[in-house]
Amino acid sequence: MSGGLGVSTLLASYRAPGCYDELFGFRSEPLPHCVALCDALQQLSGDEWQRRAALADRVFHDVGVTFTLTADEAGVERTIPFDPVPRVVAAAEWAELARGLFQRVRALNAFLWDVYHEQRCLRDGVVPRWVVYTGRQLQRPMMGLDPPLGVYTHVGGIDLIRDGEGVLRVLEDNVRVPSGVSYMLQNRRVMTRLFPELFRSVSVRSVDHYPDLLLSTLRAVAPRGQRDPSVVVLTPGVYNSAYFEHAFLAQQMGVPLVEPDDLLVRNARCEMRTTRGPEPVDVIYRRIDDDFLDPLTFRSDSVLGVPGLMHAVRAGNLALANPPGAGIADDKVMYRFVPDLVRYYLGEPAILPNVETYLPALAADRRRVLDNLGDLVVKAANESGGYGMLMGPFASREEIAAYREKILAHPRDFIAQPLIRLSSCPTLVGDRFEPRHVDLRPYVLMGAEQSLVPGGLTRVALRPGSLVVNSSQGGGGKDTWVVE
Amino acid sequence: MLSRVAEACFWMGRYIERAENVARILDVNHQGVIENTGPEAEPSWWSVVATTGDAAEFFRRYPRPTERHVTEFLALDRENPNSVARCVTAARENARSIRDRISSETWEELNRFYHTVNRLAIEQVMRDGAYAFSRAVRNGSHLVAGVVDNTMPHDEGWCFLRAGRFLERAGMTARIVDSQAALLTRPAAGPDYAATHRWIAVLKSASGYEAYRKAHRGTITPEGVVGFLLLAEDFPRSALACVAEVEAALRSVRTLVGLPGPDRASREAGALAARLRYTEIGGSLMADLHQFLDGLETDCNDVGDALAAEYFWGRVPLRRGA
Amino acid sequence: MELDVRHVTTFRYTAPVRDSVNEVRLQPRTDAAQVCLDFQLVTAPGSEPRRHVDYFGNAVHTFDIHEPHTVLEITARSRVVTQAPGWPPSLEALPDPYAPVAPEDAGDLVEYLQPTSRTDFHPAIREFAAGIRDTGPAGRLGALIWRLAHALHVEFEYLPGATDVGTVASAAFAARRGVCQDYTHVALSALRSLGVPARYVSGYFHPEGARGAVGEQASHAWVEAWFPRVGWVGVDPANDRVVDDRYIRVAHGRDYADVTPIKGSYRGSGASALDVDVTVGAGQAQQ
Repeated sequence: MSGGLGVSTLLASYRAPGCYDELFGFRSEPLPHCVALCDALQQLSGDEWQRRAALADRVFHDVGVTFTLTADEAGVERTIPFDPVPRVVAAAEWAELARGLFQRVRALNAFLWDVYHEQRCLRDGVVPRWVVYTGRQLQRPMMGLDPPLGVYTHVGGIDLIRDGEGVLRVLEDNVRVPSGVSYMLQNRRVMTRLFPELFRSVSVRSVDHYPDLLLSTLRAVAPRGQRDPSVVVLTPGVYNSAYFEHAFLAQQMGVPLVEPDDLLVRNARCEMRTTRGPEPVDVIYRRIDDDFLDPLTFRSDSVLGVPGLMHAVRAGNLALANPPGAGIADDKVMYRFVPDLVRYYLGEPAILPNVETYLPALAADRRRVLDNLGDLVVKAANESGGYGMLMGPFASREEIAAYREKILAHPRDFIAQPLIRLSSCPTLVGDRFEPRHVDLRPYVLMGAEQSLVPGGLTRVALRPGSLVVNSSQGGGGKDTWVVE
Repeated sequence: MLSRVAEACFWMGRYIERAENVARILDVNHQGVIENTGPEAEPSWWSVVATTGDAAEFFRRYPRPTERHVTEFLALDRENPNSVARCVTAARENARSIRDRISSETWEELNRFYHTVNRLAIEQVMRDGAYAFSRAVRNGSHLVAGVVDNTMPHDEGWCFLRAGRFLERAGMTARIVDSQAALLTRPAAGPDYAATHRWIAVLKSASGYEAYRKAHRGTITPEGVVGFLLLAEDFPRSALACVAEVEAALRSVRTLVGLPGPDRASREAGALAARLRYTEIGGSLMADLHQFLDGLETDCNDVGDALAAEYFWGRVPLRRGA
Repeated sequence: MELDVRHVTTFRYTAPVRDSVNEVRLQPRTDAAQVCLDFQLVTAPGSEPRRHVDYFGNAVHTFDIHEPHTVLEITARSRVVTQAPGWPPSLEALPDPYAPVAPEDAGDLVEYLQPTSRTDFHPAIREFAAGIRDTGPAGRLGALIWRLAHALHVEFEYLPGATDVGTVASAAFAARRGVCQDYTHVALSALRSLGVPARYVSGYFHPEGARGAVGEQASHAWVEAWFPRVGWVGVDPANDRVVDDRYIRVAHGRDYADVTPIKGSYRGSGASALDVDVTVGAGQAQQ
């Protein structure tokens, strides 16, 4: 029995599978900042955990926190599985992490400004020009446009993992339309409601001011510096898989939730159709991909979106958060250069390290990648959700051979990384705690200044041994605690 | 509020009310036809279909207007856009897009209503009877209306919902009366009490039998029933009461939206209410009852059109030009 | 050559439409080889077009008309002075060697080497291009390009209506027919697959008495290929010609989508019919 007066001994025989554990580190005793939590966790029996976890599921269902709406007539909507064992980060580590995140996002933002203006980094060879220009996310209509306050990365979801040595590394940047923050907020709500005793034992920093921070961020980028701009959330509609989050954030910020058909552009100004007649729109938090935003500007074969939206942006009458074209910064191939960009734009070494990444696009890396496919994880660039990946160490010879062909045909479209033994965290399986691998996605905001809530979405791979945390492939979510 | 949201509220109100009223029409005719079995029955069921205005749609898929076919057509047919099942489905679709405006209880009730109706098979309805079906639909509709009124803030959206509900009810009350008006002109096949029976059935389907009795002593006459269902301002299902509610709802919208003066829709609703208030139920009206009711329906549609023109934007599809 | 262009585009709708938002690329470019002396854009119903210059340096006018209308007429008038180009009438005379350019070495030209949605590198086109390269002297870029353009002219049938604005190069190539847009897309796919940076040019052609020329009464399209020593050189496969001062350049880009003369959207349920009337004539000064 590990320490304290626990009712249960759920953690007594808990052992991480040869990796760093978020609550135990490399040892069998809890890390100093996790002692109080581990004691509190064992105040409940396994049965009680199971009972409350089932209750939590019901709450999620009733509230309708869904990320996939199924079309079936029974109206069953799937929720992302929630695991009630929190993942913990010490306040000191969080402070350092926050500095690193802010630094990284500042560099990404500077890169975007540069790419869409003077392109010094291309001239100075920090990033190969051809990599940027063959990036499908580069949006030429954005060239030369000045977004308000020079901000491109209003919302950044920076995915972090801890490697086999316990070092936190950035796995991926997401500055297009990062999602999942509503899940972070709902997870916390459910935890406080269903596990109040845990919060009595541990001092957890609050995250529910995220909508306020997001609203300030959006208001700060009012296109003409207005003090009371009209802000809206733009959603593709009820059938979008992340609709719940769009509606939730709009409601929490107290701003209208609009669909493309609700908007029109008149004389380069954006308006929304209301019962009072057309009302101006100044800032749009858009949750629609670039391709479907404005059929006149972006190549789109379908007629979705708001025709002429970019006319309003160009005329300086509308701010889009995040603006189109930000995706060139979170291209998986660009990721490899981000530490260099930090040094180039900020004159400092990057605080947060990358995961070692090889680019078949670069002659120097190609041979090494092709010769070592069996040891590497290869991902398609411009893809998300964990599909189309090659897990070298687990793949068959045929799969590897097929992947080699793909790489040879389109070298620019792949990146390769060594397999990382992600950190684990105790997770409720039935009535016991077992280790499952996790990552972390904090949400970094940038408006007049940068801000961040102490927490984020911890995604957990629910299948034992699995390293794939994406919800579309059976991942779940945990509450993330930053503790004093 | 967004025009799209206002429109969704309006149509949610309309579709729920329509579902309820189609069930009432089915019920009143079922009662009226019970006594007419044999060769008399089919012409009666045909007139039911004719009243709903969907005769062409019906005959596309059903050979003859038997009780079973007509019941299926009005109650459950997924291909009939005005069947109870389709109306409840449409109401739910509209509610889905305004989930942040309606309370979760409203959504849950409507969802439950939707599943109840859509899980039924025609055999079950035939076995349990049209009255049971109609009652279940009415209950579902009442529940939703009650939850809406008690849990939704009485804002613009709520006003549009009411406008939709009462506009639909006004038109449908006219139709319910109309469904019996056709039978009025046929020479009485039997003694008078058969006609009286039918008028009682009409009152009961409109939930107005007891209220009528309180308001009118003496016998049940066609003039009395028609007058009651169209013009009794204190009876909530009368056409006049409904139109007055629509006018009130539209005036509230005007205030909430902050625009001065009445718009065309509230003026038309007001004018219609005034016309109804001063209508005399006499021999000439009864002789041309069908015409009058048709006119009333048209006037209701005009109010709907004016409302849409003023507040909604028409959901016109986006097209590529060049 | 001083040339006047009058380009009238009329959309007719079967029922009134509204919320029409449009973007046009109709103003001829001004650069070392061509000067646009005057340009006017007028719409009916009236509007207030705004002008900006896009990434490719094309002049873009945008305008919107929200009130219901059943006809939209867009009239563009320009007066242009063209110069004789900086390349000889016969491309074979150009000394530039043919050396395929790899994307890594292409610098600014990399985007003119990439496939696009309309200029796909279909195996059939690659094969065709490789065939042209291999059956003939491949030392000189000019000769190679001319062979390619000419082969397209011979193999293709100019046939309006066989394709539409969305047709991709591989489809047009399989059918061996289309309009100047299709000839241009196929030529671009072929050239790019051979490692020759090439771009799509839209504009007008004034045949000045040359009969049977294509594209006379409409917007025309052709190819510009990059020659390391001379720069961008224009070739017109649809007319089997090297571009000279009878061509007016309006816009250039990677494919049709970057230069679309008129694009827009509107809200309406009716169908639309399109009518285009283009007149290119010698300028007043020369008459």
